[in-house]
Amino acid sequence: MSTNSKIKSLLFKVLAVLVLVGVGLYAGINYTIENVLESQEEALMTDRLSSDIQYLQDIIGDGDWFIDEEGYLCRGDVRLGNGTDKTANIAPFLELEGKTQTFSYVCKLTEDKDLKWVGDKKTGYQQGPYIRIAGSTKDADGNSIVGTYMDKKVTDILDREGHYEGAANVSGRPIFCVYQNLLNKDGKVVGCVAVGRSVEELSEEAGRYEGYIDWALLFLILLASVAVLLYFKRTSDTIVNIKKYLDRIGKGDFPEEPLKGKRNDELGLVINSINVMKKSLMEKERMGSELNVATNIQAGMLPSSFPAFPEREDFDVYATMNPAKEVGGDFYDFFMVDEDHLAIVIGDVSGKGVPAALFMVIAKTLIKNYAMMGLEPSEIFETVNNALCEGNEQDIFVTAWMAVVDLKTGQVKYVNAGHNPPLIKLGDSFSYIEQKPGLVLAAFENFKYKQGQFTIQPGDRIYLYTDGVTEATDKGGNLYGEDRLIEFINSRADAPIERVLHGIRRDIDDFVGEAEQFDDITMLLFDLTKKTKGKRLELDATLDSMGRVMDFIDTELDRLGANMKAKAQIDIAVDELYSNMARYAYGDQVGKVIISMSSEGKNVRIKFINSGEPFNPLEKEDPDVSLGLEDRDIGGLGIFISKNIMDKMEYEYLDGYNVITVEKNIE
Amino acid sequence: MNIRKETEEKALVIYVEGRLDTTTAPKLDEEIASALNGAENLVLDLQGLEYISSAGLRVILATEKKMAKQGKFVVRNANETIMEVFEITGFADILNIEK
Repeated sequence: MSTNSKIKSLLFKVLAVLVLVGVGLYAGINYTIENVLESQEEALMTDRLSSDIQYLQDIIGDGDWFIDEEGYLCRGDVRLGNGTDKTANIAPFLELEGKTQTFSYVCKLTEDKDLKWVGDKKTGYQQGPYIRIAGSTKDADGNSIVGTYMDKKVTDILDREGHYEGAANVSGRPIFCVYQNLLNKDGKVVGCVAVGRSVEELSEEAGRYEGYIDWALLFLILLASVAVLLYFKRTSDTIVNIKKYLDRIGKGDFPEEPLKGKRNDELGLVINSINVMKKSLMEKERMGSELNVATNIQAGMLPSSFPAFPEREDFDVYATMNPAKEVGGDFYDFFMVDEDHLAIVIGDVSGKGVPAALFMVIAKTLIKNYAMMGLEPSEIFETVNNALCEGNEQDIFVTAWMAVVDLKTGQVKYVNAGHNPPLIKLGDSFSYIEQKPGLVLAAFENFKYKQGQFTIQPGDRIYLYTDGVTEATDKGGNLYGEDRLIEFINSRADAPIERVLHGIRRDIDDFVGEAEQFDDITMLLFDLTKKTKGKRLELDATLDSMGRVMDFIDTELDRLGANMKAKAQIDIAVDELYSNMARYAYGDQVGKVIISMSSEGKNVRIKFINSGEPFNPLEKEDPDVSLGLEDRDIGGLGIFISKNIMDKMEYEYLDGYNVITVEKNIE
Repeated sequence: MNIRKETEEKALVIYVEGRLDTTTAPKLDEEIASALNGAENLVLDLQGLEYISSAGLRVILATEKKMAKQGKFVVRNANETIMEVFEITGFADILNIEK
């Protein structure tokens, strides 16, 4: 699920919560308000009706209430009625009703004992001793209520308390009424006055109020919801911004601008923290790239331009270093001490990272400086050792092996400070130099290094390496080891020096497989070249280049003084072998062909090298050369001719290359 | 490679000089093809030829196959190197070679 849809669902959740809370609030508040309103309404109504009673009394007239001889309830001069005259003195009541929408009536207390039930006992009421004598009130059928008796339940309360407020049954009509006793000048009850409103009307009005309140409540809840949503939208926008910003940081793409968002809440704190974090991450990143710079300095310190001494034909040297992921301390070096002396050095500084790399730079520089002064190898290491011991507070040490080769005599003087024994090829194959190594450099001052010595001939080689080679480890924890190394290098003992080192590197890779490389892999190969140095031509394998190939071969053959016949035969073989490669080595593609020519005495050796699919032309069956004319075909004749007119023809597939070698005596 | 054509008595003689190899063989192929129509007597003179590779052999084999149907085809004046190639490849048995 994408982050974006998560954010949406979060908003949705908030919306859902808001709806639930809204409904709850609405119900709760509504219920409370209804109850409050109801009691409030009653209180208000009671107050209003009480003041209406007062007003009615005022407009009826002044004076005392009393009942006259004819049974009329009177106030002062006004005779209100005795219960028989339906319309007696209705004017004040109508006036009240016109002004306040309430109806009213007045009752007289009678001496009647024998009051009857109105309706049955379930739905009706029992009459009390108050008879209604005047008023504007109508019963359920629209008739005047004058002459009817009050409900006994109400009159009982009036008798007891002097007033009553609440629901009452007025001749079958449910009303809300306020009653008050009327007293004569002696304080004796003579009647009562009532003012009321029909219950239906009341609830209608209340309903209207309630409707208003409902809408107001809904509106308020909606308003609150929108406010909450807007606020949350702002918050979620901020969170999305933070997420985008963190994503960029996560990818290592540090934005220049700090993360913005003016907030004084917890998100503000988060934004602050992120900005602080970004700063310190950038600082760390910068230090990381300084480490890379250290790697580059380390690699840049090592001579890496090859051929290293193109002007020299008497020797060659090649070296490689494959650094591990973390900067290691491997190094190699080679340099002319003077016209006839070459120094070759290999070393490995303990530890990793910037300290090891810096120490390496110092050690390498010191070795070269003292070597250039013409010191013996043992003296060089002794001086360098003492210099490195000085102020070596980190207890770093260096294993190193160096030799100074006299290129004229082949004398090799060497010294070993705790380093892997190099391999030397004296004659046909490589073997380890047996010598007890001296102490590592930078460990103890004034150590005396023993110098060793041997002599090499043209064709001999010296192979230096660090433990990254022999201690390369596969997934099963097995080491590449010295045995596999010597076996492999002997299978390539005479190959061009670059191909030897690249071959070893490839063999290590094959051995290690998927496992990670933990140490630098560093190698150096020195070759005291045989006097006749080979020539080499590298070109795109096309038939158009045939002229260049022939020129290259003929020039060299002329220089070597080849006789006419040998030259013609070699030309034929070159024509056959090169045209074959140009046509077939790379299929439809164009690839490189390397042609190298070397000679020993009058023996010329030519190699054709391509990196196409492995193909051994010598495995092809020889054509039948005894067939008659009609059956003869030309296929396969070229290789067959070459094979027969050369002294020797070989094929090998080596480190990804097809190599065809032909040899011919040119005398 | 140089190619020269001459008519001697009733035969068409083609002189080839230089090298007959991958680069030059197509040229000889063209020259012979244009001259072959109707020829009954063809001579290939290799006096000035240094060597021949399989590309040259291909042209000679094709010519031999054609001439076998319409007349006579002679190869002459091949040097030691060329003769060696003819021997190795069995062409010496197929071709009509004059010293």
